[in-house]
Amino acid sequence: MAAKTFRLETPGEGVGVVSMDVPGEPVNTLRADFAGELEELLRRAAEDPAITSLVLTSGKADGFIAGADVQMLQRITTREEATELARGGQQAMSRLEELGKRKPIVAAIHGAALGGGLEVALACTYRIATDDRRTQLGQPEVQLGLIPGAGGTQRLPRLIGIAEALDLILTGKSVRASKARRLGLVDEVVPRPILLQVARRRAAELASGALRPDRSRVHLRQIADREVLQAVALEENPIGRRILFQQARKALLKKTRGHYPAPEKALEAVRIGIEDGIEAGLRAEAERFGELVVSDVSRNLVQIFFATTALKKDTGVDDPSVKPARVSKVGMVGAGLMGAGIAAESARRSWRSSPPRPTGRDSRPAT
Amino acid sequence: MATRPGRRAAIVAGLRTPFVKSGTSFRGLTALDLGRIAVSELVQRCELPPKEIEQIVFGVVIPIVQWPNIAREVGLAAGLPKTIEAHSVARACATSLQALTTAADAIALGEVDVAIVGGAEAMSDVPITYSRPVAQAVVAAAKGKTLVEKLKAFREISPRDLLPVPPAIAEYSTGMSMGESAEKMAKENGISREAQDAWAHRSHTRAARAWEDGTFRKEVMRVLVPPRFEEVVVEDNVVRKDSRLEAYANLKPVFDKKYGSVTAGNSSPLTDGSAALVVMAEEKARALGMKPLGFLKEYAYAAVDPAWQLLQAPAFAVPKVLRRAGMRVPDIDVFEIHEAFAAQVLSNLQAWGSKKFAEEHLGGGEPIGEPPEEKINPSGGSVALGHPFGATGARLVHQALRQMSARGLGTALVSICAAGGLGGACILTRE
Repeated sequence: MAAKTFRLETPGEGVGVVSMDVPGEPVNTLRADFAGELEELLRRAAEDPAITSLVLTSGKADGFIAGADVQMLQRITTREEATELARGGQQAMSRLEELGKRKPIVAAIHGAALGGGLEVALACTYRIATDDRRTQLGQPEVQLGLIPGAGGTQRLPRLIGIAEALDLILTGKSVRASKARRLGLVDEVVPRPILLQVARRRAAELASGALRPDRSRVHLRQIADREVLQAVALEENPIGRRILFQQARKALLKKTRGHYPAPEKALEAVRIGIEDGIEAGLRAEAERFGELVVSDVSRNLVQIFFATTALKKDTGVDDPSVKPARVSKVGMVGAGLMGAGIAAESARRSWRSSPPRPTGRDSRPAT
Repeated sequence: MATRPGRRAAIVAGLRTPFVKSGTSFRGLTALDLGRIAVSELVQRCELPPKEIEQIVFGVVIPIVQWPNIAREVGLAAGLPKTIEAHSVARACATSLQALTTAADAIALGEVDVAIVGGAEAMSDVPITYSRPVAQAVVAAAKGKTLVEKLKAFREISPRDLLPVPPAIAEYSTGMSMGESAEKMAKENGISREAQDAWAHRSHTRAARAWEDGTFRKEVMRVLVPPRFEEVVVEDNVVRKDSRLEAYANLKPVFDKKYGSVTAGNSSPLTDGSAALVVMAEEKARALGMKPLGFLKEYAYAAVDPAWQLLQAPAFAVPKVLRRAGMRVPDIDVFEIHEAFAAQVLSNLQAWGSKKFAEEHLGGGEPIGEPPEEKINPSGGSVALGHPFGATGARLVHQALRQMSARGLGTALVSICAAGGLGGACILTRE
C-alpha cells in the first residue's frame, strides 16, 4: 500500500490531531485520490468515542495546503469530468463540515492555505493561523482562469461577507494572518511555536461548549467605520445585494474587458448561492468550474504558470552537470533600471553588492 | 590548562549599593551620584591608597548627555586624585563585566597596575529627549541672527513633534522590546509559565535567605540618601521576603497578554543602583599586602542575531570561555547567571544541555551540559535582586567571589545576556 497522506493521532483529552503530509512532496496539494483516505479517517474519528474534537494541520514544516494539484487538472479532458471532480471536492468539504457540528474541527494553519487549502480550512469549525510571514490565505484560482471548486464561493461570503469575499475571489490575492483576522477569515492569530498547543486547547473548549466561535461580522470597534457599515447595509437586504453584485460586475468588466471569464463565473456562483441557497450555489460553482477547466483561457493561463515555474528553475544551460556557483558578493556596473533590479535582488538574498555606479550615457540613476 | 597571556588580574575588593526599584529610594539620584557613592565607599573600605589607582573604567547603559564619560566624572566626584585616567565602556547589560575585562587586559599588558571598574544605572533618571524636528529647529534657531530668523526655524514644527520622547528598552535594529524577545524565547524553547514562576520563586527565596543570614553584609553598603540625608537604604527592596509560589500564578503576562507567560513576577525589574570592583596586577596586590578575593582566569563574548533569540548569546559565550580555559562544567563550583527573565535563564540552561543545540549551533560535539541546580545563583539572581543595567556585571562577579570565599570553593563562572544579542562570560578562580 502507498504511503499515507493523512495521519490521525489522539494525544489525549479527547482531541484528535489529523495531519496532512503528502509523501515525497515539498508542499501539500489536494488530489482527487485523497478523498477516499480522508473519508475513511474522518469516519474513524467520527466513530471513535475517545475523540470529541479534532485539530486539522499540516505535517509540512512551512506550508498548510497550497491548493489543488494543477497537473491533475491539466489531465482532465471533458467538462463533465471536471464538474464531477468539483462535486467530489465539495462533498468531502461538506462531510468535514458535518462532522464538525458533532465534533468541532480546528484548522491549525501555518504557511500557505490557498485555493483548495483555504476551502478545507473554511469547512472547519474554527481557524487559527500563525503570525509568520509565510502564512498566506487566499483563493488564487482566477489567476489560473478558474474559480474555487470545493465550496469556496459559498463558504467564504458566508464567513466574511459578500464584499470582502468578492475582493479575495475575484482578484485572487492572498492575505496575511493579521488581515485574515480582521476579515474574520481566521478566529485567532498566534505565534508559531504555540500553534498546535492553542489549537488543541480551542478544540477541547469548542467540544465542551466553553468556547463559541464569534461569527458576528460587525464588531463594536468597527461601528465607526463607514465602509464596513455601508457594506453590511448593502448585504443585508435583496435590493442592496443586487446593487452590490451589479457594481462588482461593472468593475470587473472594466478590468477584464470580457477577455477573462473566470471572475465573472465566480461572481455568478456567489450570487446564486446567496439568492438561491447553498445547494444551488454549490451546483453552480461545480458547473462553472467544469466549464472553465477545459476552457482555452484557463489552459493557456495554466501553461503560462508552468512555464514561469520552469523558468525559475532553469539554469540557462543545457548541460545538467553545470551547477550554479555560490555567490556571496556581487560587483555592480551600471545603475539603470536593470542594475537597480539586480542590486535589489542581491540584497534580498543577502549578497553583498557594491553600490551601482552610473556608466556612460545610457545609465540613469536607479529610481 | 590554558592561561591568558600576560599578568594575572586579581580582584581585591568589591562593593555595591542596595539595588532598589526605580522610582523609590534613589529616585532623586543620577547614575553619576550612584557610581560616586559606591566608588568612594569602596576605596575607603579596602584601605587602598588612592594614589595607587591608575585607571577607572566605568559604564552606564542609558547614556546621559551631560556627562558622556561617566568614568571620569565618577573619579572626580568621588574625590579621587584628578590625575587618574578614566574611560567609559558600553556593552548593554554586560557593561561592568566589560569594564572588568578591559582593565584586566590593560593589567595583562602592563599598561596599568591598579584600576577601579564598575557601572551604575539610574532608571529613575532617564533622559527624555525631544523629537528630531524640534532638535533640528533648536540648532537652526541658535544660528539665526535676528529674532525673525530664530523664529523661522520653528515654522515646520507640528504639535506632535513637541511631545517628549522617552527612551525605549527596545532593540534599535529589530524594534522588539526585551520582554517581547523573552516571550518569543519562552515559546520557541517551550519554557512553561510554571517553570518560569518556579525559577522566580527560587530566586526570591534564595535572595531573602541571603539577606537574612548576612551573606550580603560584606557585598552591599548602606546608602545615606543625598541631598537631605534623612533616609538610609540598607537592603535591596525588590526581594520578596515572603515569596510564595502560588502568588506568581496570579500575575498577568505583560508582553503577550493572550498567549504569554512572561510576567512582572518572573522578570527582572527596572532598578537603580551601582557596583564597583578594585582590580590589580597579582604582583601589585602582593606588594601592597592586599589579599585577592580571586582572579580573572578567562573571559569570552559572543553575539547572536537579535531577531533570532535576543538573550541566547550565553549559550555561545559560555562554551567559548570554557574551551579557552580548558575547563568543563563539572570543574565549576558556582555559576552566577544574570536573570533578565526566568525564561532567558531557562533557555540558556536548556541550550547548554542540548545535544541538538550543540549540533546545530556549535559545530557538533557534546553539549557542555547543564550544571546542577544547586550550583546556580545560590543567593538569588537579578529577578529578585534587581537589575541596574550598568551595575549587574560587577554585582555578579563580586557575588561569585564572595560565594567562593564563604564556602571555600575554587572556581566560579559568570554568564550575562545583553541587549543587541550579546553575551559575556568569565571564569574566576580563588587560591
